[in-house]
Amino acid sequence: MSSLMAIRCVQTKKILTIGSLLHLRSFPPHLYASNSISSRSLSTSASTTNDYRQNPHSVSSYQRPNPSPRFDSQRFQNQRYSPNHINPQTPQQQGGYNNQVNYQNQNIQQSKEIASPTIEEIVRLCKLRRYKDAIDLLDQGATPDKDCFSLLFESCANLKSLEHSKKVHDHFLRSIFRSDPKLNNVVISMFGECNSVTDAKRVFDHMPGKDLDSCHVMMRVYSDNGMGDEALQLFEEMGLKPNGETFVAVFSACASVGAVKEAFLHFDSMRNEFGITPRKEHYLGVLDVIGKCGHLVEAEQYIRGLPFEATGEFWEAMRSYGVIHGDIDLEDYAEEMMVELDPSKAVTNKIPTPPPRSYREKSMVASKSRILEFRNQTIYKDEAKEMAAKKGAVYIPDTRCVLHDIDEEAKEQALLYHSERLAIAYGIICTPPRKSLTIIKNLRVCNDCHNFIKIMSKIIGRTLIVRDNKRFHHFSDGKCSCGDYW
Amino acid sequence: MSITKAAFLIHLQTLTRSLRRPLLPPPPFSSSLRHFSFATQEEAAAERRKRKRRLRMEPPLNSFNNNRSPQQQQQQQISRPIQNPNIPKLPESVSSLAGKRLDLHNHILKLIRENDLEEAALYTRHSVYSNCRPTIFTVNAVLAAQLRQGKCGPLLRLHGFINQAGIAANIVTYNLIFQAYFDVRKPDLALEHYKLFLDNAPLSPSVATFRILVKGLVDYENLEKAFEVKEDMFVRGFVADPVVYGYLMMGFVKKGDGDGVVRLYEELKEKLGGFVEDGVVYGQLMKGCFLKGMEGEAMEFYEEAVGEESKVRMSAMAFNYVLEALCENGKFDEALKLFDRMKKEHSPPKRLVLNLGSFNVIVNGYCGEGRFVEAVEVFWQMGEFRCSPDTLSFNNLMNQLCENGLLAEAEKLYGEMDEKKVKPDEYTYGLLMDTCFKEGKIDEGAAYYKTMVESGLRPNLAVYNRLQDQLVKAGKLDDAKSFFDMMVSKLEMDDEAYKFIMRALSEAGRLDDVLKIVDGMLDDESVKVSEDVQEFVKGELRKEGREDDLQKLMDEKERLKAEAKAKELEAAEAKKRSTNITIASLIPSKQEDEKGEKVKMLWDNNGVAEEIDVADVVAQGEEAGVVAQGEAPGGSNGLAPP
Repeated sequence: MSSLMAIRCVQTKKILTIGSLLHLRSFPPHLYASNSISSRSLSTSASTTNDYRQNPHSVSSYQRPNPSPRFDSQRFQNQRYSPNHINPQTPQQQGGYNNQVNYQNQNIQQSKEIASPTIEEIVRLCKLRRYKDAIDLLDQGATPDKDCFSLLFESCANLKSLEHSKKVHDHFLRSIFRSDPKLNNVVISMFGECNSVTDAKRVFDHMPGKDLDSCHVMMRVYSDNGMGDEALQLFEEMGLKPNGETFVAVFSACASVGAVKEAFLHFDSMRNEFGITPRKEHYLGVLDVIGKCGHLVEAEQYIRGLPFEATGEFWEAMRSYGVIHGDIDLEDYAEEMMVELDPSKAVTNKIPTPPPRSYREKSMVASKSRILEFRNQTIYKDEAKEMAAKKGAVYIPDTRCVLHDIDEEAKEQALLYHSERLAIAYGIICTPPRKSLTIIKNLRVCNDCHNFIKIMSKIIGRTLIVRDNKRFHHFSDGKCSCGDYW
Repeated sequence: MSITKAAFLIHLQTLTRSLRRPLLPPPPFSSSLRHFSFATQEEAAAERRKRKRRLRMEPPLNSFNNNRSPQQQQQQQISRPIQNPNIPKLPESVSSLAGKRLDLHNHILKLIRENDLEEAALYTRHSVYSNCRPTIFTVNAVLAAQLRQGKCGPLLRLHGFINQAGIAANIVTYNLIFQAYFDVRKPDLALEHYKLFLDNAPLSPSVATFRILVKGLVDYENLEKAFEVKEDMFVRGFVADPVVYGYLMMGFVKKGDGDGVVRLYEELKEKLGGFVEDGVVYGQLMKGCFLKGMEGEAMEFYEEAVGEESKVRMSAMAFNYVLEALCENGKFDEALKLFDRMKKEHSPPKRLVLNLGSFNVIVNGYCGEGRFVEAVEVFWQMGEFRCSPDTLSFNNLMNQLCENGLLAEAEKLYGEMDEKKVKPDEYTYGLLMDTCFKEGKIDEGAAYYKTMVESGLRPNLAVYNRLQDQLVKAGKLDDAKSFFDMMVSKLEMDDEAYKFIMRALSEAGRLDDVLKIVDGMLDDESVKVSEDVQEFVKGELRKEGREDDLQKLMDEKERLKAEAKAKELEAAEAKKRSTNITIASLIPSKQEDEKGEKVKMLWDNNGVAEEIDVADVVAQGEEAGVVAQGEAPGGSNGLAPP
């Protein structure tokens, strides 16, 4: 236990020396009045701070105020921020973080040198789509207002960069708007855009004044990240009276998990239990559930059975399902319907659809086909050759390259770890398809690897250039430039 | 409420109804039944979570107690239970189709539109070995395009590959595979895959699945299984689908069982609450009534389906079935009237009433009445209604014309095929050739055969034999010989085919040519000169007293072969020696001989590897056998069981 403690203390210290002043600031002011800031006292204080979380662990296992900066955010949401309580005992850290922390007292030290950027500048940069530059301005002490924050959040969402999102969020938490529900909703959707459901959920859990909108945003974040089940659970446990908007979110959640039947149950309950008359977007939502799950036949039936004439939007949705699931005929038909209903959506530069070779469905003379009477059942010679060639083309480990005195199986195993293979394997998984790979090795390539790479180059369709200590081997399409002589 | 009831399989009604219905016996297919009908949302949600648990999916975030600290949440997330790798993967959701993977999808779609399916399939394969794995949607797009173009061999190969690559299939994939197996005439395999799907896949089937299965099984006259599939559909909480019933009724019509058709209709009517809105069953129903000899009732149903105040929704296919029922049962005038109405109602894209099938049915009707001129006229009307005839339609009409001695008309149609960019197939040429022979136009028939082979089609031995027979009969031995020379290098002929041409030649006294043929047979490694053929040739030669010639020829061949072998050996020896020299500089001389041998073996090994076509190493999966057989009929339109 003691050694464990030591490590933990070191960690805590590290956090201190790294100097996240934020951590210190997160403590209630009265703690700073107490004298020392030993790691021990810090840990206790932290745990007292966190009592409200009903931490079941002992104090010692919870001495760190924060394992990662991410957790700052919650604490800030729940505690009052007091800029004037700066810990006097950490002056050296204070200096380095002045401009980050004290943006409300900008006349201290370094901040004097650089005139802090104005909101207008941030807005301007955002409008120019120079999001990163705009976000950097925050570090230079800019103090955004509400609109500016919302603009920044949107910028982060556009960037899809979690790093930047977190940075802006940290600044937001230190601002006076941090409990603004509208802005918090934007934050949730921003984290959703950055594919960090955990962060979005954390903000959602700790935000004061959750309303229906927040739930909608949260549900949408879940569904967009393919976690429709969680969204549906959130809906069930929401405890608020849902409105029409809610059900749109419910349907998109169902669509992301393929819960067709559940969607219909919700659709019914929407009308019967909550008395919401379904509108176009609800029908679209249900259609989305069916279409995205690949039930294309049903989706078309659904459109035809709508209580009103399907509009262009429905066919547009239908077209997109055709695109997703690769059904060209459906795509073309839906597009035709869409253009018919809404001529403005006509696609001009479309490649014409190739005619199908089999009209299985609508020919009506299929049973009269006697093609087999004339087509070959006997084999043509070139076909026979092809079929013969396909047989037996397998990689067989050539264990003669392993010179150690081990059994056959172990030899085969040993071959697996030759460095060029590992290099190729790594190269494959981190480069785009058909990109050629160059591998440089300072030993001669073994026979087995040579065979392996030859076959590999054919299968993965790349040119593999392998240099051993004598020459370059260019492998492509199952052949090597060395002509198997090296 | 109307929507849920009228249009879709909402399962709510089914549910209530299925509760009222006595329990159906479990279908023989499904060992583990999964019921997907729920009474309440809670039940549905519970089932969903249960399913996820069964799949060892991560529990939802907020199932953690909310009053626990976030740190613990984090810890719990990290210590995820180790997943069982044998558990079937859930297919990816649409949200995974984003970013790079979406770009890939669009690229593949573009390739498909350009009809470059080979590249599309290859690029999909290659993408598996990259940092941008294709989604199942991309794979489905390629598979669907391949199915559409009748390329079932590559389809099954790609599917096998995708399976191996661990890309989880979704319902669309399964449907495509079932259809592909039916297309390659393997209904048993399709059923087997269906069973596997029910047992293992974490998915529920869609209506399309049942339609494909029932249609396929009915086509292969396996009504029993088709019925089982239908029952399975109800067990799974689906609403009775009129299309499925339509297919089943078609099966009964084929069997000539009118009672069965009517029985099915009654069953469907009861299940749908007393009225069948979808018109697709009425055509079959009429056929059933006609079969039973109840003409009056058939016409009543006709009235119900297409009458003025009918509430039945008639699609193009529904109309076609009705048309067919009328045409086949001597009501052609009625059919023409209906056809005229259809032509008037047709206003694409909103109301699609006519399609290729309608014209095919009417053309058949005209031909049945012996009104061939009108048949051709109607056939050409197709263009006005945005229908384009396919090879099958052409074949159908040409067949009828040829049977009735209208070869000139048929040839005119053949000329038009080229203009319409419809490719004739083996059937087209075979039909024309045979008809030409029937009319004594041997040269023209032979010309058709030549065109066919030159255009890359692959007629079978039977067609070839018919051609040879006619040519020899007409005394055109030179032509016969030249066709033999053309085909011998392509087609694998049997002994009879060889004997036939040899007999013809020897009868004409051209024994040298006979010997030349034997010479060719001996040269060709893939052909074995059987005892039978040897006897035959000897017999022929004996007539001229040259029976030794064959033996001489064969001995000569043996000698040549032996020489070639010796040369080969010598070359190998030389290679070995040169290898020894290179090796000698590398290894101590003591082990020289031994090592040299080893290296030579390696060389051989390499040589073999060179020759092997590595292209389909990946396809060496379970499908390989199927593919080989599946390739041949892949392109055919018809599904007529062999």
